[in-house]
Amino acid sequence: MTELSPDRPGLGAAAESAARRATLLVLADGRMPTGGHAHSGGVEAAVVEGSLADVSDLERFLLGRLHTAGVVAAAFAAATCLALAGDTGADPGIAELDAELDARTPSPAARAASRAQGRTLLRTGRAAWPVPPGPRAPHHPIALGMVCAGAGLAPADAALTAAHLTVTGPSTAATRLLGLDPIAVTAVTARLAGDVAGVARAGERAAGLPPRDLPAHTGIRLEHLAERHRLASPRMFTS
Amino acid sequence: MTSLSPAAHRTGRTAIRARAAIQVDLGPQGLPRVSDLRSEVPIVLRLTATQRATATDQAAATVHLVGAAAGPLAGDDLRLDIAVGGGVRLLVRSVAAMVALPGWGPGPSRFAVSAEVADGGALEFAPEPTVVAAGADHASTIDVRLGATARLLLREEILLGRFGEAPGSFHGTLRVDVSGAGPAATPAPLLRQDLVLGPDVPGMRGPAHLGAARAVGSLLVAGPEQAGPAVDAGVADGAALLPLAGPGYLVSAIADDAVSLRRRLLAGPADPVWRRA
Repeated sequence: MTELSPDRPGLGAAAESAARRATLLVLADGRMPTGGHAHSGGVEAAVVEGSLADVSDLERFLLGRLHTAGVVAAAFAAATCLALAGDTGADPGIAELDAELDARTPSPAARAASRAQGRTLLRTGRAAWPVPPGPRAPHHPIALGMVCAGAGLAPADAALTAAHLTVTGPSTAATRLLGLDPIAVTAVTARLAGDVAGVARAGERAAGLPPRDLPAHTGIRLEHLAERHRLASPRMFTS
Repeated sequence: MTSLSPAAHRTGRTAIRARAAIQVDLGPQGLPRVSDLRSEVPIVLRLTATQRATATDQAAATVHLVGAAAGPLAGDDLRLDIAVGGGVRLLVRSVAAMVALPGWGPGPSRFAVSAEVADGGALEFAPEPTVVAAGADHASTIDVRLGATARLLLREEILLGRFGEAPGSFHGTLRVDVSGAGPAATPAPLLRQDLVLGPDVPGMRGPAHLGAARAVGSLLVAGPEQAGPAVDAGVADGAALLPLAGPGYLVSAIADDAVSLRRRLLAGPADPVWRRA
């Protein structure tokens, strides 16, 4: 792939863009061992209680999750990546962003799941890229922003990955739990691509706001499902 | 409503802009002193009870919000500022539900509540529900700043549509901060919630958000007693008891109607209704 080498003059911008997209594909690949496969994002509890039983329920679940938790995740991933981009030597304020996410996650089960995924993502991310220092087990969107910054990605990439993962994790979980047709589920996630892009753009636009003004959209039943999941037995997923 | 108060000036063809305020401090002889009680139509405030401090209870004042007009209507911009001093408890109630209605004004109707509770003070803000009528577009903001040893009980109930009616649009912003101990400590965020509801909100009727529920609400309890692992999380039908990362817990509930919603919100941490892991 020498023609894509950023060392070749004249191809700088195009090569950089291609390299960024190639890196983004690695990060957003479901096969990257980030621990995400162990979490259903509320899908398992919804399946157990009967509110999610087929592909059309899944589509409405994903839309709701994307436009609530997804908006918050995209904004915080982008804000973290932006805060780390400057490398000015000043405190980038990661702890403050993390505390703001705590305040946006009233369910203790949801907080624990987010931090568990943040920790695993950081471990893998640190092996792959020079991720800047920060908390060991931050909320997942914070970890994602840190990894994006380390991988040379932009806040827009962090927001897009966060929005994408908001949808893909639960889709995979629903496919496994309900034995849904993976082809039909892929069609659903493909239909949601426009919404994913819109949520990512909103997250990117919000990234420069003071942390207290970042979005705080809540999906009411998502918080309930996160707690309900702890009572379910047996469980296939951690959350 | 017969007339607008002189200060309630019109901002558009029909829109009303109003600022109301309550300030309560601890006065002499253990009595609450209401140093400010400013009404502005349509937010009319009435001091309905005062209680002297006893060996076990703080001095307390109760203020009722009396709606002096229908609405709010689109374009109305209403604001209530609350200040509670140390050693005193303020209870804010309302006499009836607030019904947000459509109108001809520009933009949504707005109701912004801002409250500051000093160290050792307490605020109970528990008005009747906000009903978002079909076609209405209502924005509610509640912003509370608590001193390190201040206490808060905050109840918010939203009904989507009047009985048998389609929902209007609602955007609620709830922000609560708690000051750290010490003079230089920066406030820490306790709760941030944007609740975006309406007929066009994607996935609102799905299993991640409201499902089929018509009523949604929360009850937040915060204060120094809630620091540390004071409350265990639990779930019940349509409700969850959620200990926050900071010093407080949230009861979050959805229901088909206002009566069930209120019942679910009033289940305290010791209520046998909660199922726990």
